[in-house]
Amino acid sequence: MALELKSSDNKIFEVEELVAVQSETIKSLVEDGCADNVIPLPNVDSKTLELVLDWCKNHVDMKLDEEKLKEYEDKFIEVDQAVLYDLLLAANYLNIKDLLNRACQKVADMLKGKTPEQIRETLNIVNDFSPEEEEEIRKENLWAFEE
Amino acid sequence: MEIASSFTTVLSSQPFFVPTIVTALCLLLTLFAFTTVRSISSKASKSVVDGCDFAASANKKGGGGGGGCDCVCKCTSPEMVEKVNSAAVIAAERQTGASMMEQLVPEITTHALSYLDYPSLCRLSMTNSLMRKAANDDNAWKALYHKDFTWEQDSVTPANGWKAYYAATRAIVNINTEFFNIIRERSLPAMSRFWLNADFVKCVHASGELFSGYNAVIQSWQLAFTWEQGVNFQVRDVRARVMSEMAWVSMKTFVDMDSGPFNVTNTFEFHNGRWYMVHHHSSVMTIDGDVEQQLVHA
Repeated sequence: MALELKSSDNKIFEVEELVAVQSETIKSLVEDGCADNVIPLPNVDSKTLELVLDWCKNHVDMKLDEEKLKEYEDKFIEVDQAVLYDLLLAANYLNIKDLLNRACQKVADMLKGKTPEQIRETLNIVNDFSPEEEEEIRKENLWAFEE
Repeated sequence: MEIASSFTTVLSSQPFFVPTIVTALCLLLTLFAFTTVRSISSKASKSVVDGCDFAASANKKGGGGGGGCDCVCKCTSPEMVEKVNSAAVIAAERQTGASMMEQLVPEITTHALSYLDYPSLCRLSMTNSLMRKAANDDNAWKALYHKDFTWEQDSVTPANGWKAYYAATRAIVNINTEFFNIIRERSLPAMSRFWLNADFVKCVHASGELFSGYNAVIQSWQLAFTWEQGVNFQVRDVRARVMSEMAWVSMKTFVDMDSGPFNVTNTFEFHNGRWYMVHHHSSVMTIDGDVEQQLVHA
C-alpha cells in the first residue's frame, strides 16, 4: 500500500504506508481515511522530506538490528546546523518521536562542555546583556561551575 | 449670561461665515478619520498575513503557541498559500542571520533543553536574554531535579523556584559526599572543621553509641579512625531535603560482605555562609525483615 506525499515545493514522494506511518501525523491521517489522495506537507521542503523518509525507511528495515540502527542514526545526524534545524521542525510537525529525540540529543551534544561564549559562536547567538546584567548572571550561575 | 447672548447675536449676524467654517471642519475631520481607518485596516491585513506566516511556519499539530488558529482557514485559499510561502521564504532568509535555538517553536525548545545537563543549561542561560528565559524555565529545572536526584518532592513548590532548589540540593549532596571522603581519608582535622562547634550536635554511630556535644563527637571520630576497618564503602539512594538554613539527607551505605548495609541520616545547618554537620545517625539496615545479629563497627 503506497502513499503519496507532497513537499512544500510541490515534489511528490511515493512511499510505503509502513514507512510513512512512522510519522504519527501521517498515521492519524491514514486512520481517519484522509490519505486517499496526495497528502500535502506544506511545512516540509523536498530536501528535508527526502532525509526524513530515508530515516523512516531505515527504521523499518533495521528494526530488529539495534546496533546497525544506532550506527545509521549516528551517521544520519552528522549534518550542519541549518539541516538539523529543518529536521527538528519536520520531526516535530510530522510527529516522529525517535527522529526528534535524536536531533535534540545532537543539539545537547553540540553544547556540552562549551563556555557561554563558545555556545554563542556555535549557535550564532548575539549577546544582549549589559555589563551589570552579565555580572548578575555570572553570580547566579556560579554554583554550576564549582566542580 | 449676557456674554452668551451677545455671542449668539454675533454668530447669527454672520449667517454664511459660520456654516462654512463648520463644514470645513467637518470635512477635515472626515479626511483625518478616513486616513486613520485606512492605515489601521492596512495594518490589520498585514497582521493577518503575519498571523498566517506564524501559523504556517510554526508547528501545527493542534494550534501551537496560543492562538492564530483562525488564520489557518484563511491560509488554505491558493492566493493565501502563495503569500504564506513567499513570506516564509523571505522570513527564513532574514532569520539565517539570527540563531537557530532562538527561533525554534517553544515546544521543541523545551524538549531540546531536557537533554542538557545542569552545567550546559546554566551556560546556555548566560548567552543572551532570550536563552536566559528559556533555560531558566521552572519546569525544565524540575524535570532535571527529578532526573538527577529523586522523583520524590513532586508536590513541593520551592520558594525560590526549581533552579535555585536544584542548586541548593546539588550543594548539599556535594557536602554529604565530602563527609564520606573525610571518613575514607580518616582525616581528623577535616572532620573537626566539618561539624558545627556547638553543644547540641549529636552523633550516633552504627555501634549504637550516642555522643553529644562537639568535643565528644570529635573524640568519637578520633576513635573510629584508629580502627583498621576497610573503609571501602558505597553510598546509594541519597535523598536530600533542603530548606534555607537546614537540610537533612538520608542514604544507605554498603561497606562489605561482613558489615552493613546501614541506614544513615545526616543533618546540616547553615551558618556564616557555609553548611555544617549537626547530626549523624547510622544504624544497621534490616534485610527481609530479619535483624542481622552481627558485630558492627562505625
